[in-house]
This record gives sequence, structure tokens and C-alpha cells, in this order.
Amino acid sequence: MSDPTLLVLSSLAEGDKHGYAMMQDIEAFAGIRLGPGTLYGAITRLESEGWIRPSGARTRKQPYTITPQGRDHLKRELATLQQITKVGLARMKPA
Amino acid sequence: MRGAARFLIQLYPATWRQRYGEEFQALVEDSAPSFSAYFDLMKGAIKMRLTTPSFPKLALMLSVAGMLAGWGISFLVAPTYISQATLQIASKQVSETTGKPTVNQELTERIGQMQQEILSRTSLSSIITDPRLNLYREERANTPIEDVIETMRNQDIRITIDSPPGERRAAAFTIAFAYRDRTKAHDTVQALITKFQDANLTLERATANVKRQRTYDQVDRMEARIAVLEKRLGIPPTPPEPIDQLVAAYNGENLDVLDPPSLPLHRAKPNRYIFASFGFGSGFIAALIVVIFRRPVRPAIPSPAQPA
Repeated sequence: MSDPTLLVLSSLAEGDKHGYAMMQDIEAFAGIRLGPGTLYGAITRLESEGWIRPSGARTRKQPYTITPQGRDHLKRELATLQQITKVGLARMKPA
Repeated sequence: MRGAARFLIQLYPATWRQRYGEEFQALVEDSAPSFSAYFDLMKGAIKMRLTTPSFPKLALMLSVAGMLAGWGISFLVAPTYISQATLQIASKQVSETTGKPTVNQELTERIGQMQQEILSRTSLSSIITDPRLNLYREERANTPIEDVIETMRNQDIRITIDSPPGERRAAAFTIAFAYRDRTKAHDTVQALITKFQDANLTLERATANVKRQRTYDQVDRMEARIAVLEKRLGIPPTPPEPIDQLVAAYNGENLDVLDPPSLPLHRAKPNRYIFASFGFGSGFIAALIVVIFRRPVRPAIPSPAQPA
């Protein structure tokens, strides 16, 4: 799972975070270090889709929260990934 | 290094910076500076420019990029040089019994006849395989000689008749040959001129033979009449004169080279301006396609605090 938008949604599924916190969280749970350009590219797209939104007062370290639509989208994507992982692993077993 | 990061942030579209600039800068400041992070910033700026700019900006960017790409690609295309020569065929040997208005037509037909012979498979094959020219070596290694001859005949050789207006007793024509080697282009045009001269000579000989045959026939008829008259008058018959003395001396001087083959100094192809223009147009079309098919990005409106 290296799609930055899914990584960001997965990170926000745990709770609201600002950019740097997301970056650290993603590195911790996925082992992927997103660059600032990639992270904010994903944030821009997610916000335009309505899957995340800024939370709290506007500050320099703006936190974001996942919206219900974003949560549904994440669920669907993860279910697809789970299915792919399941089938892929089953097919990898020696005959 | 921080200055470089600030500069790279400035590459993002202004509307985007207005919305995300402050928090983005805070993130960049918190992140450890590294070349991969700067590369990521630059990559992000390019992507953002491609997804968010207005059409005029995008069209300008892609058109200029296409123009530069077209200009660069033109350097990868092998250059072609065109050598050309102008010849003139005069009506000296053309039937004088023909009316003036048709003389030029006769000459044009004559050029056509010669051209047909010169562009024949045998003729072109002999030029291509001439060891001094050795044309289309790479093509001949990969494609049949018939195809190479077709290319030479239909694409690389140009013979155009360009008689001066009002001129009825002479016809000028230009032979041009395009090739990647300027010297070989020049030598090939020279070879084609030689072929024209040979063909002209052959035609002249054929015409002379016809005329000679007519003369023989006339002489035979006159001698027969004289013999009849001599018989009637009781004069002893005179032996006939050797007929070869009646043959007119032949010369092929009616084909002149007005302009000898030129040694081209500048390439005729590729035309870098055409390549650049094509690239510019392609960039513009690409911008149109991007604008039509890109995912509509709704610029997020700054919203201080929205209810969850």
C-alpha cells in the first residue's frame, strides 16, 4: 500500500493530525517516509474529494480530520487490498 | 538549505500557496532537510502546476516545453542535402516541319521520354550500385533493392520542367536529388546529367537514323527516275554514288547544362523551425487534453473551524 492518499487516510483514521505528525505516523506504521510535496499533494486531493477537512482553528500546524465519506472510502479500499492480499498470498503457497 | 526550500515552495501555484502555504512551510521547517525532500518538493510543484493552473498558463508551459523538445528532436534526425542542376534542351534537332507552338511541347515530350528511361529500374540500379556512389548502403542491407529504387525515384529525385514563358524553341528542366551526404548528392546529380546526355544521344541517333532512311529512300527514287530518263535519252547509265557520303554528321549539342550540379552547403531537412512549431502545437493540444480530462481540483476555501 504505497498510495499516499490511503496512507494519509489510514493515519487520520486513528485521530486528527497535522502534516508532520502524519509523516511520522506513516513512517512508523508503513515504513514509508513521505516527502512534504507528496504529503501535501495527497492532502490537497483528499480535501478536494471531501474525504478530509481541517479541524480546529487555523494554525501554522493545521490538523486534519477524516470525514465519514473518507472513512467509507478507506474501508472500501482496504477491503479491496485485503482481498488482493489474501488471494495473492494463497497463490504464493507451493502447490 | 532552508532558502532552497523556501524557493521551491514559491514554485507552487499562488492559489495553492494561499491556502496551504503557511502550514506547508511549517511542515518543511519541521522536516529534516535532505536532497530527497527537495526533490520531492520540486516534483510536487510540477504536479501541482499541471493539475491546478489555468489554461493559458498550462498551454504556455506545455507549448514552450513542446517547442524545445521539437527543436531538440530535430538534432536527432539525419540531415538531408539537396543538389540540383538545370539543363536546357533546344529545338535544333527537332523536326523543323512542326509548327512553332508545338515545338516546346515536343521538347517536353522528349524530356519525358528521357526521364522515363533514366528513372527506369536498370538505370537507377546502376547509379545506386556504382562503387563511386554506393548509395543507400544501410537501406539496401535491410530492404529489397526494388523498395530502395522506389524511394529514390518517388521521394529523392525531382525532375521539374520550367521553361521560360514565351520560349517555344527551348525547354529547361531541373534535376534535384536529396541525400544525407552532400558530396554524394552532388555526384548523383552529375550521374543523372550524364544519363540524360546519353539518353539524348540515343534519341538523336534514332531520329538521325529515321532521317537518313528517308534520305536513302529519296535518293533511291531519284536514281530510279534518272535511270529511266537516261534509258529514254540513250545515255549510258552512271554508277550510283556511295550512299554513306550522304549521311549528315550527327551531334548531340542540343542538350546544354545551364547550371552545373550544386554542392549543397546547408541541409534541406530537417527544418528545425518546423520541428519546433510542431512541438509548440503538440504542447498546446496536450494542454487542451489535460484541461478537458484532468480531475477537477476544487480549491479548498479557507475554513477556520468546521463542525465535525
